Amino acid sequence: MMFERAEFIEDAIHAKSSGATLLAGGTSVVDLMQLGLEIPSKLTYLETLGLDFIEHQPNGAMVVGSLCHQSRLAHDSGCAERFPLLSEAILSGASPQIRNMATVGGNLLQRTRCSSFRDFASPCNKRKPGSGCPALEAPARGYAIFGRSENCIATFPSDQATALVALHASVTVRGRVGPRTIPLEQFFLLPGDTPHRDNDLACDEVLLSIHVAAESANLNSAYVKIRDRQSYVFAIASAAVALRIEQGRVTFASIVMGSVAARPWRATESESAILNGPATDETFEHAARLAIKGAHRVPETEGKIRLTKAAVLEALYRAYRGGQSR
Amino acid sequence: MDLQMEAAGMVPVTLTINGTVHSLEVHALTTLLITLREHLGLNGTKIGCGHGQCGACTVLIDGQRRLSCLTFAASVHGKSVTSIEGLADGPNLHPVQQAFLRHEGFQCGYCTPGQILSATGLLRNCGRLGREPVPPSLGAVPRAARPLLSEPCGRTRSAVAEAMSGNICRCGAYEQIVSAVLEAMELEDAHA
Repeated sequence: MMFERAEFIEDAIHAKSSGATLLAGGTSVVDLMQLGLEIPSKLTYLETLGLDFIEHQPNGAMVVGSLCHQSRLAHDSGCAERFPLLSEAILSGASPQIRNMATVGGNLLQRTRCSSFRDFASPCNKRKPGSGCPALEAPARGYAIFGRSENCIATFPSDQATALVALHASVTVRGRVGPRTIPLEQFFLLPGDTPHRDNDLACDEVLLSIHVAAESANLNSAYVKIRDRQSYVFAIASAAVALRIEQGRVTFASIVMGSVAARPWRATESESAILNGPATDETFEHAARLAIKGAHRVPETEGKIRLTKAAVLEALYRAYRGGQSR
Repeated sequence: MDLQMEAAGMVPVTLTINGTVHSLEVHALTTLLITLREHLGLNGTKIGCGHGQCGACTVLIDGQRRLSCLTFAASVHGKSVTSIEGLADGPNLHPVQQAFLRHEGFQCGYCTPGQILSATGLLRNCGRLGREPVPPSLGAVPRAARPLLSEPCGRTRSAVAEAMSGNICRCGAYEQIVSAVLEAMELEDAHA
C-alpha cells in the first residue's frame, strides 16, 4: 500500500495507468473502500494538482477544473447568475458537508448507487462482469427505464451531470497521447455488453475540466428532483430543462432526465416537439408525454414513469415562468 | 516528478487540531474520524453510519464543515481541524453550544457534536457574505487570500432546515435544532 500526492497531471496519468486509485474529494471513493468494493494497491491524492479553478472566459463560456469543489461552483456568482440550472442542480444533491468535499469531476465519475452493485455479497455484472444481475429479476423503481441491457439496469444518480448535459457541456480528458474533448452526453456509456464501463475514460486518462459554452448562458431553466424526502437523498427521477423563449415562442429547448438510465437521458422528441412553437399548456403536456415514450413498462415501473413525466412537466413550467417573471 | 511515497502504507501527517499542532504517523487508509478518536483521544466526534449519510462525524476543516468518516487523515496534511472539543473558550461555551442548551436541541445527544459543528460551519460561511451577492472580483483574488466559501442562508426556518439537512437526528429534535441555529445566527447578525 502506497500513498502519494500527485503534483503534475503527468503524475496522475502515470498513477492511473499503473492501477492506482485516484482520490479527489473522497466522498464516493472512500465510501466504496469502506464497503470493500474498492481495494487500492496504491492511493494517489489529486488535490495538490491545482485543478480547482473556475474560469469565466471573455466570450461567456465557463471552464471548471475537475477538482473544483461542488459548493464553490454552485455558489460562484458567475455560475449562479449565468448558468443557474447548474447551481440549482448541484445544491439539490447530497448535503452541505458533502458538497464542501466532493469535486465537480469526481461527481461525474461516481459509481452507481444500485443496491446490487454496492452489496458485496450480491452478484453484479458491473462490479464483476458475467456474475449476473439480481436487479433484472426484481423490477423496482430504482432501476433504469431507458437504455437498459440484459446485463445491467443500474442508473447514474448525478444531479449535476443531468444539468450539465442539458447545458450541452463537454469534458476534456488527458491520457498518455494527449488531451481530447468529448460532449458530456457521449462521455457516459450505456451498459450494453460492457456494463463495467461507466464512461469513455481510458485506463490512462484523467478528467481535467468541464466546459460550458456561452450559448448555454442566461437560459430560462429549472431543475426538478422527485425524491422520498425533501433533502439529502438521491432522486427517484429528475428533469433539467433549459429554454429560450422569444415573443412567446420556444427558440431553444433542452430537456434531460436524471436517474432514469445509465446516463442523463435526453428527451430528443420532446425538444423537437416544442421547438419553434408557442409555449402553451398543450405543447408542454405533449412534450412531457413524449419524454416517457419508450420507457420500460412493467407494473413496478409505472410509478417511476409517472413521476418522470411529472418532473419534466413541472420543470418546463418552472423554466417558462422563470423567464416570464424576469 | 516529485512524489511523496511511503512503503507499508504509513504516512507522516501534520495536523493543527483545535489550535495545537500534531505530528503523527498514520496508515494511508486511516480516516480523520479514527485519527481523532483513537490516535488523539478526542472522542467527542461521533461514529455514525461511516458512509457519509448521517453527519454525526462533522468537523471543520480549514473552517469548512466536512465529514471526518470520508476523509483520510493523510489527505488533510497541513490543514486545520476543529472538533467539538475545540469550540468552547475555556469555561465559556461557544454561542452555538449555548443556543443548543437554551433550546434543548437534542435528546440522546449522540448527533449533537456533529450538529453543533455543522451549525458553526454554516455560521462562519453564511455571515454578511452569505446574504449579499459575492462580488464578481472574487474570482481574481489569489488562492491564498480567497475568503472562506459563502454559503448563502436566509434567516427562515425552512432555509435553516435545508442548510442543516446533512445532519440526521434519530431522536427527531429538528424543531429545537432549527430554533437554536436561528437564534445563533440572529445573535451573530446583531453583533456584526
